[in-house]
Amino acid sequence: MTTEPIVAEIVKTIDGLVTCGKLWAYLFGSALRPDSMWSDVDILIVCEVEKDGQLARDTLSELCALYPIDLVIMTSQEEVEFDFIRSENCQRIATSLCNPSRNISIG
Amino acid sequence: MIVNIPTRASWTGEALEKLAAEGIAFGKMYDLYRGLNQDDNLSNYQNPEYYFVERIIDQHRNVALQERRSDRVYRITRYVGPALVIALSQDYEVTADVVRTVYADHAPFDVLLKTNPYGRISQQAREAADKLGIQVVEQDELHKVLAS
Repeated sequence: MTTEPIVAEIVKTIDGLVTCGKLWAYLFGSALRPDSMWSDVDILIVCEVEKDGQLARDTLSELCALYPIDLVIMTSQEEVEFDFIRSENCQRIATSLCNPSRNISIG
Repeated sequence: MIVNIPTRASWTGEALEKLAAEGIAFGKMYDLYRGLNQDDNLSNYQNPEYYFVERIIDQHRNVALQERRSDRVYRITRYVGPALVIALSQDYEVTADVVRTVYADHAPFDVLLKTNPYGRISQQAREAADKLGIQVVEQDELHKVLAS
């Protein structure tokens, strides 16, 4: 099996997600290297609003239970702190639908 | 050795005690391969993350007893100071999301220990931990936490 169908499902899910702030999904790790054997699909979620990360995790939970997806979720501020996108050569694959008036809450 | 348990599954402390009493190791496929390369007797195998954490705790002079509440949570009885419950995170970068996710899965605990020697703990992760009333620490901070 290739990673493409898994990535396509993730893209579809994130592209359809309505979030408070901007949220982006990136692919990184072995799934980006066509010649390598992949063991899991590494996905980075970067969100402007911390609560949106929880929303993304909840929304992707079914896919994560079905497929070997390794989710890393961080805020934009944390991404700047870690310089993760540049250091891991992450490739953007999806962007949520941002609706700042959306009111969500987490426990 | 028991292997190939689903990633999100959790071992209870009682189950781990029973395995230890019966001389049965546990882990993922990675652990099986590693164990086969290390020793003829797989029952001696211990995952390196747990081995490392338990060695630090065992060797600390303020530790009277360590018990396992689950595969990811230890309860430490200390000679001086109240007991501490420590949860483990193997994440490379410990973010606020990691803190909140581990807390949701394993609370109550006092300390979140980052067991991965690489990567960092973000400022927002420390702030999230503060709000939850817990500490989030690197491996090299664990000695200080056990002593204080």
